[in-house]
Amino acid sequence: MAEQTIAMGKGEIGKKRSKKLTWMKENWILYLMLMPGVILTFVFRYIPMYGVVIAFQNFSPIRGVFGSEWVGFQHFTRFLTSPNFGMIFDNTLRLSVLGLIAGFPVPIILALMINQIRRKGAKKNIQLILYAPNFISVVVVVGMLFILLAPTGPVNSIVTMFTGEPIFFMSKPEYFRTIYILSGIWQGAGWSSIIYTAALANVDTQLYDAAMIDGASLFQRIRHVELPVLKPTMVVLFILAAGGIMSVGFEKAFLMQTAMNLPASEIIPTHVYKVGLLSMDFSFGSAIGLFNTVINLILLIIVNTIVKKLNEGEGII
Amino acid sequence: MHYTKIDKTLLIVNKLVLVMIVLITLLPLIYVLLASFLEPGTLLTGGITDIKASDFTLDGYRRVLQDSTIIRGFINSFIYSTLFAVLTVVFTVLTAYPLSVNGFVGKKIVMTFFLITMFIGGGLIPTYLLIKDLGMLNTVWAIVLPGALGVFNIILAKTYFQGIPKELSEAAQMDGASHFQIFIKIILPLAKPIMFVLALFAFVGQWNSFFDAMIYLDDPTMRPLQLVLRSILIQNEVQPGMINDQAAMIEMNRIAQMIQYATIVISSLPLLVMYPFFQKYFEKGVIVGSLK
Amino acid sequence: MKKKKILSGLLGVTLSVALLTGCGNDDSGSASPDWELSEVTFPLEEDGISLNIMRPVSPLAPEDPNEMLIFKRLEEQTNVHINWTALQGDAFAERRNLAIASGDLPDVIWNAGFGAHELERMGKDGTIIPLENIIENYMPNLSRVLEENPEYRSMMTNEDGHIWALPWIEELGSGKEAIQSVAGLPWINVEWLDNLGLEMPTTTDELKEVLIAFRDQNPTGTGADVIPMSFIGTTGGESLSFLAGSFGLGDNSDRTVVTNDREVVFTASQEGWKAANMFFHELWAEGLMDIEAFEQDWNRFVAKGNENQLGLFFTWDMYNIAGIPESYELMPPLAGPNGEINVTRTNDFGFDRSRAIITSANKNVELTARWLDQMYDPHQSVQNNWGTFGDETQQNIFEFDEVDNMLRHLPLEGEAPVELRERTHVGGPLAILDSFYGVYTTMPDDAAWRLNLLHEIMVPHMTAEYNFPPVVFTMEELDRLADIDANLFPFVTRMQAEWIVNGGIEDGWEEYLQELDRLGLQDWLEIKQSAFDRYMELLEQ
Repeated sequence: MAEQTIAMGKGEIGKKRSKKLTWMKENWILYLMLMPGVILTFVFRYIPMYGVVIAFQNFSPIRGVFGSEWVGFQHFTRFLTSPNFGMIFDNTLRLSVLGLIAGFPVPIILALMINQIRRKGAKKNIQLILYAPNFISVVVVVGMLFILLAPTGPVNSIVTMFTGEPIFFMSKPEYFRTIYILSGIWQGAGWSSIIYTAALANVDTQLYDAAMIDGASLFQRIRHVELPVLKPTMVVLFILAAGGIMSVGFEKAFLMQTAMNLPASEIIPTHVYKVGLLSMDFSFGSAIGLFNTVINLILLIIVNTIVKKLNEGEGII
Repeated sequence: MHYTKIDKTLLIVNKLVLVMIVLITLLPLIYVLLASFLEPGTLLTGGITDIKASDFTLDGYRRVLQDSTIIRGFINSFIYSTLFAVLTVVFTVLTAYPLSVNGFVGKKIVMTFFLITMFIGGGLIPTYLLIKDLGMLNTVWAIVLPGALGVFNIILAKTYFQGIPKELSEAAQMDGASHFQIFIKIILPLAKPIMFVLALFAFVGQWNSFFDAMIYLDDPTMRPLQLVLRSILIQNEVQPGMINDQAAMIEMNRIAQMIQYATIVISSLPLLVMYPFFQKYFEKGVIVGSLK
Repeated sequence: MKKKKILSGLLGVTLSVALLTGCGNDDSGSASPDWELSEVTFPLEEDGISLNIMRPVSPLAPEDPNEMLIFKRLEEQTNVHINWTALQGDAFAERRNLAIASGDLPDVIWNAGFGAHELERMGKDGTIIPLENIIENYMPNLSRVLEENPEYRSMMTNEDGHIWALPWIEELGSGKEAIQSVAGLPWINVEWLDNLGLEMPTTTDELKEVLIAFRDQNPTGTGADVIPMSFIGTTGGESLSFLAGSFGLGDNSDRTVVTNDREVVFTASQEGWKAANMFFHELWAEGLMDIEAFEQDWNRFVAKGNENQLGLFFTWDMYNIAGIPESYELMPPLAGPNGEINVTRTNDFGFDRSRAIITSANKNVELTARWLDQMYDPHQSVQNNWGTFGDETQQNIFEFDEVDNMLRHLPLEGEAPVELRERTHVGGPLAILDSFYGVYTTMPDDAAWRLNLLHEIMVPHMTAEYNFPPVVFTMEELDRLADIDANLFPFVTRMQAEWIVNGGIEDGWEEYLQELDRLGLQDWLEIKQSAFDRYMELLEQ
């Protein structure tokens, strides 16, 4: 910025600025279109932001935000010096990252696969079935997991045929992540593929025709026609997912926890819940949330930068 | 269209794999459906093969449906979800379009403005107080307005708009069309798929949600379906302040088990039924027509 | 220009909204106006007096509690009308806090469900008022209860001498005889014992042999699948912790026992506990335990019981599990390797510290206190807890015996007991003492049965004179305990499960003890000990 100033001199800056203003005046309608969204966001997101300070207080509802006692980083310290913090943080991160890596390609592949189906009827029905698991509540899904993977359950019947001994899936920390992630994919991949299916509808049929004429094989067609259409969406979704890494849900892990798989299944939200059970602490929960958010932000920026480098400068920010 | 031999095989493989995936997905769904018609312990003790005719019961459904508030819950949910979907789509496309225009002055500032909200939030109490002060407590708006514009959606729509070939809007601009005209006449029709996706996600999200309604709505006649279902479920769970009576707890638990599955079927059914009607928005070739 | 105006306008709105919303609270909430009553007696002479009470919604009960017979009668008796504010759902805590945050404090919060930490904080903040003087001056019923049972006073009073909330007390037996003194009782399949010609085991070794016989000798006679011993985990009402008593001080869900020297002990660091788990591993290795024990939930457990697959299981009341209850009997405590028998007491009490609080917005403290005291009248307490009599519109839980001035339980004909109770009882603050049975009310049948069983078979073998009651901790202690518990307990549970399944407790013991210390066991013991000592001191005053 400074160099530009020196190099350009006052006149040029003036020109740049007035160019911008001119553009803005000409395209005023665009700004008008933005207004509703901006106002909405401002009112419902920015105004309540003062609540962030709760994380630094000993919040008490009756004293309100401006009247509660200020404790600075006390809650953060308490959280970070908890004996098992390292393990819990590690579990959370791993679960999330692995989930992202494993889960990210699946909706894309599904969308592509479905897209190859010619018959509209079959396509519709397949989609419907694949979307359905999304509607089943977590409680039921986990309940099913326990039943399916029980030592005397169906999966183990097959296992014992081969090895004679059942595998205690839900008791072994080693299996926790895999089960968590796979069941998550089962539940969510179909639904997530909707976005990609929508993007695929954007494909110019002329491109298809051209590819056919050129004698392209299926793979080549996918690579050169369909994937490029999906790329922008993929990039965006990936970066956004990276920015949500620390926001692992509480419910599923909590329901899947057993006495024995805790070394893998104890994640930040479940731990905070247990601590909070006795002390019922708004501020503490708020502090953890803030902590997660900061990590999310850092990750988002990192991933965005990496993706930008790989993707010719296109990222979210 | 002609395919190579490899292609043909691949397509067949594709079909087979999809069939497998569908089956894997289908089995648990059938399980849930089945379980909603069975006595609670049946599947636990015997597994699928041991089911007798006597294990079938409509009790779960009966318990849920005999509550007259269910119908109202349905209607409420329908209204809220539709309203929310409309608001979401309107706000999102209005906001995303300017951001997708090349050369938009202030794009970075505006994007940052929105992005920040992804990371910093005030939390429940300040939001509640705000809604209260705006007089929105106990109104529909408290649950459909605040969340109508999500950053995720903005980015999604913006990306989509950016994917629409520039030639179209450039041609129109040369013909003297204003941004708004381009937006309405060219962009929106082509954006049907993404608008549909936004609407669908919004509808489903709102349909399945209950927390906001629980917090902001006092009037029982305004409760959405999920809330009604939950309160029926909770009726059969032990609450603080009840007797330490194990027999009571057990009876309640049994009923809760029974209801659980029926609840899921009931609340998912409308969505699964509606979906096929809107399928057509996913058809390919939407753009072709306009080019020609 | 245009933009600037818009901006500043928005700024102005923001600031004013922020000021309005953020500013703490004034008393313009929903407390009742000051009725200026004193020397209150019921029924009131003045009309139109009302109080505002907030409560969580009782799902099966009528939306307006004033439709319930109990409250109708109360209103007649006292001439005080109650305006109930019901907050729904699993988010009662959030909604309650939001209500407080937005300045809507009622007169009283009923069935508040506040944790100890919240109580202390709200006391400190001035959201609620201290009640010790109020109880003394305006609440004769409750005062009498506390006089006769000073232990409850100790459970309610904090370090500064404050009582922040009104309690719920339900005694069914007391001391060692309390119905809660043992949670997961051992029920053994005596039909199988008969079939195999075996005697009821009296030692842990004999138990092992019996279980082996169950495993091998086809006790059902049909070759059906048999699980010699089943349970759910190592803590909780269906766990096997009962058996640990045969090896020493034993174990319970809080991992806390008190020696007769008044020392607070952590069960899971004792040699006896170690020995118990070695024994458990032997049982596991022999295939005598349910391999799903550490993964199953209540429903699966019950399913097995209903299918009559179980030789020995643990639970509060076997009728809930056993497919054929007649097959089972309570197994008396076993003698361990050193010949000693011990039944470990739980730390459960029929006591809830916070069933009602009076907020600082309340302008009618005397009236409120006296009204709340009505709840502690013996007949009232009994009804509030279980249900009422004389209702012409629906089935009654009781009938009122005018001659003996007693409430007698009625048999429930066809009505699901739970639902009826839910519809008719009101909960809230109350006290039902052991001394009431036979005087003001009869005892529910199943309670009487269980008390009797305990009395005959378990109580004689309880060697501990003390258990660890719900003592009052300071806020700092609570925080520290919360932090430690969240790490300590899961660790212990996990290690125990592993040792039962895989063995190796002898090798891992030293390391385990060190880890316990790292997780804060010493602090934990210190805190619990000092809280216990404070409790005993208060008791002995």
